[in-house]
Amino acid sequence: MLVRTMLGLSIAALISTVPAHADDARVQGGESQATAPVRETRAIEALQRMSRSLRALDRFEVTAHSDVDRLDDAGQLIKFSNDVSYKVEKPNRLYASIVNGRADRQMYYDGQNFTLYGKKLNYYATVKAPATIGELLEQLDDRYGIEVPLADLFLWGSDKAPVDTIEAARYVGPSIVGERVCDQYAFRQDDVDWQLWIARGDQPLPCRLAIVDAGDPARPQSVMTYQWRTGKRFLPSTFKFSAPKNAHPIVLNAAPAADAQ
Amino acid sequence: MKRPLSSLALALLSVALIVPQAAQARDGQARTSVNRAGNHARNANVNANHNVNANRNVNSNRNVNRNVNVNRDVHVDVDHHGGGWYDDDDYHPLATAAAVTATVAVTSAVIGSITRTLPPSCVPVGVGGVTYQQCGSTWYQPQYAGTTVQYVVVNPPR
Repeated sequence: MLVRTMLGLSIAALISTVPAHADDARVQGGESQATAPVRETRAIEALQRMSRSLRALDRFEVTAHSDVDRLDDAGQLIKFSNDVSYKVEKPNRLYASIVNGRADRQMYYDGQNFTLYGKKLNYYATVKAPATIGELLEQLDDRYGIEVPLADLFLWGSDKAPVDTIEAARYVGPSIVGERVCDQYAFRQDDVDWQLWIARGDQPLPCRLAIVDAGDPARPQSVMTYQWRTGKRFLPSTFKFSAPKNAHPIVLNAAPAADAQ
Repeated sequence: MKRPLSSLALALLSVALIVPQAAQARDGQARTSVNRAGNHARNANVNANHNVNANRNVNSNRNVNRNVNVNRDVHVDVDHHGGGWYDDDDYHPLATAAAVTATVAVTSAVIGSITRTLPPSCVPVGVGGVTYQQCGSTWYQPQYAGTTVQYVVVNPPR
């Protein structure tokens, strides 16, 4: 009798503990599934396909409207709008402009010289430039502390934008951007949460890019929406700077940080 | 009992050490590139240090207080500006009114000090292919730092 009771008790204990453990395991499994980064192959492949079609462009014009957050002294995020326009002829011609109501700047590269011109103050600076657009962008960043607008358009598909740094990637779904149907993807890497909208069809170029600085407690965001015109032909004068009347030549400073590091 | 306490203290210490660094790494401006971290924060720190030194020099002269204020303003501006494409040509929309008026109120400036704005009534003068701004007896050399213009007080170039 005693033996039976004890057996019964221990069986009851067994029965009651086993499901309890199973529940624990399920809960833990569920939690880790929710927090583990999902890295969908189709999202990575879509990014790579888009990057290839970007790199395949020889001549293009792209305009972009961008909204960029900046934190003010009172801790409020203020949104600033900019219009950026690029005219590009590979491998060594590039024109860019950025207009935002507070600044009106242009950038000229004709394969030999690089000129930065600010219309509002009417100053320009010209320096000798390297042989290709890629080298120019490197030099501007390293030597002069200038990160060109829409830099990713020139970096995707190069070794400067390796996909193995992407920790999370997933397809969100179709989305209308302007009048186009684009596919929306979400990515995460380091402190950057970003989303990309890619055009459908045989030329899958980016429709829109949104970046959240997740390493900043204020989480400032920038959003860029692109309009593409590919295969355009440009006049050589598009890329050659000629100083407007009363424009003044000034120095382009080397970035002090580049020297210090 | 001893061990958990000391490890807690260690954890607190490391948090205290790490958090301010993380906060300094960003300046509240959204990054505009996935693949480039941007250089606004990097430039800001270096320039700010220069300005601190300039203040010390000023103190041994006269005109002390006003110049110190001006330099501080530059410091503030530089913190927000690194010369990005999205910055302004001629003014900073988020700068406080006090900062702007103080900058305009400069009457004499120290060689090597940097400002974002010029006093009124300056004349551009070209010397050796480069433009200077002569403002009374003070000469400024405008230069691009990144894509924004700053003015460095220089000795008369001629």
